[in-house]
Amino acid sequence: MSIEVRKATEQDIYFIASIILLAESTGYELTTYAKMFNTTNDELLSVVAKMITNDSDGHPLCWRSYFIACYDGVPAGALSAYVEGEMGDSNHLMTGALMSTFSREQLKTAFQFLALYKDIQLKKNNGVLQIDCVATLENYSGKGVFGALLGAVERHYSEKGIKQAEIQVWLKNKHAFAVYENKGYKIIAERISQHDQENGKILMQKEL
Amino acid sequence: MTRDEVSVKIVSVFQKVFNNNELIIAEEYTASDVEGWDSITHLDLIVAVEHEFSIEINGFDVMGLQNVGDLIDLVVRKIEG
Repeated sequence: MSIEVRKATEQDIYFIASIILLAESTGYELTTYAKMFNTTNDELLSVVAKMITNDSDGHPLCWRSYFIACYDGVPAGALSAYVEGEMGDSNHLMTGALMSTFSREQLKTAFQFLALYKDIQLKKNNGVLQIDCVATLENYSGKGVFGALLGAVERHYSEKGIKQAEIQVWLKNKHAFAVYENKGYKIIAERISQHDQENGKILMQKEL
Repeated sequence: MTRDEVSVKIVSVFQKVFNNNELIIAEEYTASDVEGWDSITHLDLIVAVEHEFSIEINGFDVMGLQNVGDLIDLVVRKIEG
């Protein structure tokens, strides 16, 4: 068995789209693309694939920001990695990607939904590596794919001089919290949702 | 319309969207320089700029913006057509 980590290519677009939606399927998310656009992940798959087929970088809605972990040569997991602010504000870039795909009316409704959860927005720190949209296919769970992927990405950016990495985790997702804590990430901020006092977001950070 | 005139109008649009007449905006400003300039406000801002200058801005235009100066340049290009 071998695990290889590499930068994504355009051939990975559908796999990345499935990873983005899988990463939003733990059941702990208060906001997801499916909820924003009142649809299902099955219906969203081709839409998300089309959306990430843009030439930008520095945010999770473009294929260029992804790293792929291959298990015996087969894509098994992926994550988005970018340095906040390097290509512009990542949230603004994501707004652009959404605008390129959805109608203004759809976006207006989606952003009205997002605005309900404005209280749990956490600021991404400029110059810090952002880890986002992390998922491993179920068949490869527990085989070291995630550890190899995260480790390779952290080393890649550390060698480029980036000093810290951040990830945002849903408060109810105790499994994800434990996994990142085990990898050396520590809580630096927390937001509780007004709509669900037991859920919200945690910002975890690690020195690289 | 000159670039300077566009710039003055853009500042006025920012002040309306952020509901703050005292808001100071410089060309090098990014989201981290303006309190509350999140993705939701960004969409409001783009729509307000479209209305102010009677132009259309698409998602690819938005993905090319890194700061306020880029937005001014984009509007100038769109007006010149």
